[in-house]
Amino acid sequence: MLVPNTGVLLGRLRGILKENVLTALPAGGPQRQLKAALHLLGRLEKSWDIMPFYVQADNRDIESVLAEIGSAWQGSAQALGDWQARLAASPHTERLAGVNSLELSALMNRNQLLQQVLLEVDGLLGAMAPSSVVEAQLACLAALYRRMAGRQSVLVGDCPVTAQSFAVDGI
Amino acid sequence: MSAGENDAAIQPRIVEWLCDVMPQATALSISGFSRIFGGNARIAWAFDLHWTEAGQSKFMPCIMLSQVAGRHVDSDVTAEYRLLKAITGCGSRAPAALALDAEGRVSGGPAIVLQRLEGEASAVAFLNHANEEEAQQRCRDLAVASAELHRIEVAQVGLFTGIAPRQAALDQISHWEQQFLDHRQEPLPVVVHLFSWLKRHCPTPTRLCLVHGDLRPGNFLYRGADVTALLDWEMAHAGDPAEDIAWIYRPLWSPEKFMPIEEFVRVYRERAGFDIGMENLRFYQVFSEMKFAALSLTASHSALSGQSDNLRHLDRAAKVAASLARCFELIDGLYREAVDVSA
Repeated sequence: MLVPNTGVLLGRLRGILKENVLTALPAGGPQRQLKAALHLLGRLEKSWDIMPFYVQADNRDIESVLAEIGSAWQGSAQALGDWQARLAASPHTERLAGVNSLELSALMNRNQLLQQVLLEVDGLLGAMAPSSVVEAQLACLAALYRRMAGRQSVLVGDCPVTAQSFAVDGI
Repeated sequence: MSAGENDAAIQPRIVEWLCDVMPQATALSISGFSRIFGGNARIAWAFDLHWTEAGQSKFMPCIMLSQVAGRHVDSDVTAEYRLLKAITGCGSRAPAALALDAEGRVSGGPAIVLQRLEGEASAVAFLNHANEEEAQQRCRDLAVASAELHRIEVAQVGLFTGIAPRQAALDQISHWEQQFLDHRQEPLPVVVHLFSWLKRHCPTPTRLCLVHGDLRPGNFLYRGADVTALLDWEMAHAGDPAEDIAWIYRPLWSPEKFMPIEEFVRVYRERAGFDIGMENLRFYQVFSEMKFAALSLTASHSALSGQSDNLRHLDRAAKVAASLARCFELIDGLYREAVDVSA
């Protein structure tokens, strides 16, 4: 069953509440609450179906950058922590609150782990003696952060979804 | 007792409390007691205070502000009260502070009673004002009010003694970073990265000032072309004056369409008698976005953990993306300006 889809339902729900309920409420607390709810419904309408593509693209991009950093330090005496082993371990399968799909839940759990690893790697690189390799890798992380922020803008509905929104170069 | 308790029960407690803090007053009473909108973080009541002192009848319009649970601002009402007491009469357009109930005995939450000043606070009405000339005059007066606030000699009024200007600026970054760390619901490495950028690039303030901390449309009163009072001092602190101006011009509530920021700074500089430095201003535009991001994550956490039922807070985490995008734009602009200067 494809019709009505979630976006259509959210849009109609928002329209009915705005036309029939908001107009009947006097100024005050309940009216402010309803306006906030309508705003949220509008945002969900714009973004309800893109979360899986967003998380997948984010995970691939972070994994690609981390793999590049990891390979640069392979065989080096410089310790980079145990994050590579943690990432290689079997995925965390606990279902997240509010998520029905097991597949999406796994992707989101993976994303949380990748975010945590990014923090650790950034901290480790930042604590190293400056060198051209370290500088290049920090620049690589900074570029990744910009791409992550760009994807978040699409996810929350600040920027329109395009064919390139969740494309990751080289993957 | 909860902060939302029946207002009728609160009224006699206010009278009893004010009798304690005003021992010189006799025949003290209040009239016109009513609840008014106090913003997202406080409950507010308006009332008129009447009393007799040295044989003379006296009257003061008042407002009582009480903190609610699950707020998106971690602040200390005692510090706010002391600060307002200290700057009364210093020309800052701040309301006079009358009483403090730090334990929340009167309304259920920490509360202060302030002088109620004349004017309208609506940010929407301010930003959509149809009379462009009057709107520009208001902006000019806001620049003057900001300059008057920042001209206060903080050491002379006993505020923030022994704090080095640069340390005060760094303390503010640490404060908002800590608020972010306390309330984030996922690691958010991009936010961590940008707080780290702020700490590495923090400029030394041109002058250590009393910074309002939340100066924007909605937090000051205006009437006609005049700004009649600056409100909501709960985020006030020692710091760089550029911080307030950058916050006034955050895109969400910026009065840019009435007055470009450069003109605002020119009017400000004329009245203040000192410069804020455009580099500092650009830095504090980035800082403002990160502060807003920290506030948004705090509000989101408070709504999702059940501490607040304010629906405006529920989806505040979604606001962070715009702040991050703007930070990167601003940082690129700073680097471009630096290259232009060195070329």
